[in-house]
Amino acid sequence: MNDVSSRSKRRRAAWAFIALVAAVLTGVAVDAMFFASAPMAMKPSAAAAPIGIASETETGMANDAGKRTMLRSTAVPATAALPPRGTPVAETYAQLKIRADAGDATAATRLYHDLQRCRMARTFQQMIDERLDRELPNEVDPHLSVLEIKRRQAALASMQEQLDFVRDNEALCAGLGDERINSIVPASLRAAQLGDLKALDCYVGSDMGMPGLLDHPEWLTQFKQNIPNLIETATRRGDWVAVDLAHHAYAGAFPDTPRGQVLGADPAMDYRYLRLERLGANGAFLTKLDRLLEQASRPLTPQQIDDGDSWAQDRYARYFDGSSSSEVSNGATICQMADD
Amino acid sequence: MVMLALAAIIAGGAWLLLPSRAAPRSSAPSAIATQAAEASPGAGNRDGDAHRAKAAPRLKREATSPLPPRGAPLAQIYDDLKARADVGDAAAASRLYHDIGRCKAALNSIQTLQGVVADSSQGNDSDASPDTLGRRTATVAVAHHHQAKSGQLATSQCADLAPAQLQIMPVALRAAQLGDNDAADCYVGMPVTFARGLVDHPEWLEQYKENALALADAAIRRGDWTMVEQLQDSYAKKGVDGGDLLHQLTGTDPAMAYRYSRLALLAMAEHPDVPRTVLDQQRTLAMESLPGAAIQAGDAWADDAHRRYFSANPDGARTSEMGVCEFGHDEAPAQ
Repeated sequence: MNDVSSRSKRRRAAWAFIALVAAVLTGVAVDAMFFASAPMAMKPSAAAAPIGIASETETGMANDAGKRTMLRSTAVPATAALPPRGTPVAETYAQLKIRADAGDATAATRLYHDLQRCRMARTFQQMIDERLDRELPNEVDPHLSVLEIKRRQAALASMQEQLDFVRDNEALCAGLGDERINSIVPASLRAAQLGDLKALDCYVGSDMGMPGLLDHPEWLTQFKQNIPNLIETATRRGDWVAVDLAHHAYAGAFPDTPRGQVLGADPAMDYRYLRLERLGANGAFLTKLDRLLEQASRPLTPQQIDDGDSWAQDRYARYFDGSSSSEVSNGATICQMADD
Repeated sequence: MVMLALAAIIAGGAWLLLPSRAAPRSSAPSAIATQAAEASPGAGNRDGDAHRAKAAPRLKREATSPLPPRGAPLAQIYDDLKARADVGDAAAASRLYHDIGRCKAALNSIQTLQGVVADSSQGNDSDASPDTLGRRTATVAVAHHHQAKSGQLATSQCADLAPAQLQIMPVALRAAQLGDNDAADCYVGMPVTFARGLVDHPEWLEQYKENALALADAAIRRGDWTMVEQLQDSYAKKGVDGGDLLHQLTGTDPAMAYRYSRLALLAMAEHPDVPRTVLDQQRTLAMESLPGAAIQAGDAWADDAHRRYFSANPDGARTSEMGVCEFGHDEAPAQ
């Protein structure tokens, strides 16, 4: 790019920007009042789904009781009722953690989901702060196009949803320090080990977007040690998300991520998981998987392909019970609050 | 909160006016020894020089021989470059960093583009509109083009590399220690998901804690606007971002964020078209959320840093027009 031209564009953009800020300075109070008093009817999509804590009495595995075999070995029956839902995590943390460490799956999953809510609330708060900067200033511009006005309205509605989520979880997350928030990493691992598939998918698939990692390098070792078994377990419980995560890792799609580093590119394994995914696919997803399977099979021997086909057919028959893999056809959503 | 946010907006506007931070410069760090870092106003460290000792680039040595020809297969020159980098050859360290980055990018790109092609084939053609089909075809064509370029690079320069030879974090650290601003920006701002090999080397996290702020400090002293931007973002960031090592290190600190935003604005205010009042405006906004002492300290720090490190270097100090930790096919490695 021509440097002079680039600078000129930057300056023009900056001047427009400064003019905008100056104009907004007088309008901020009004806009802030508008925003603060805006209707709050909408709930964030993340928060709208039923809370997974409904599974507290069933360890979150109501639909696949016969398949939860692997990770339950360390789980013990809940010895006491959980604290009332909505109790501040700062008050329940210690008790839940002790119970989770001792193998109480319900406590582990409750702790994970509560921490996830608080982490999400913090993230939303950050996003609101940042988006306020962008969205509110231009509200005073009388020359906005209809499309731009609609975009702004949608943006404000989305911010309102996020703000609702933050407010809804304010009491739950009050007084929770960074260290506790960061413990979502071991909390998700513990819940995953005790059978919480949502926690498992998040732990495996988030590729250790690990707050606090810098002070806990041992989490890397734990991640490395646990990922293969967690994927195997999730597969045996009919979890398409884990199958898709495994396929991407073995395909070498994310070689730099911790998941990619742990599993490593492996065409034969990639073929197995792709083949399994295809057995549950339908519609346009089939076309995509066929193409990927064709690519994945190129370096394989006929024996490897036969083994992969057999493995996939066996897994599908035993653990997936005719279910559809189309849920992951456009990418899986993990670590969101859709389960809460 | 709103006022602090607006202060950040004004600082953000400053970046638009800053001279291109990716402006070319003499690409490789000088191979001339610069044994110790000069004193600085404490960039990256509110309390002064706790990290300064580590900020000093390790002993640099004059390059003892020419670098291998550009485009030479990395697998063949890796050991030599690594050995030279280890003993302080800045040019070799920089070359190694850029070559590894380009190979990583090319190899990753091939894989990613396979997915793009597959995704583009997922749609049901019988139901697709002509526009949709046209876009899909164009996407696949672009993907194939880039696949070809990446494949060419991977074949010519990146073949036969061992997995460990694509681990960029320690190489970026060495090049950064020896004065490469691109490498410093990448190392300091490195996302967890870019640090191949980290799972097998958790000790790299300890190295990062020991070195990152010191390297940031050194880059500031070399007039690196990109580092200013990274530090401002990191100190201003709220919320929880587990993949951001720099934010884990700095935490949220509005006073420090103000320092760097102030520095950015000073650069903008130098331009004759920009009224000096923009500085007053920023200060007024900051006073809504920061104590006066913090603002005064930030102003003093920024004035000093700007005068000493940036006023003579308004065009920034990076070699690449790519983003931090990004590498293009045609990026010229340092020679």
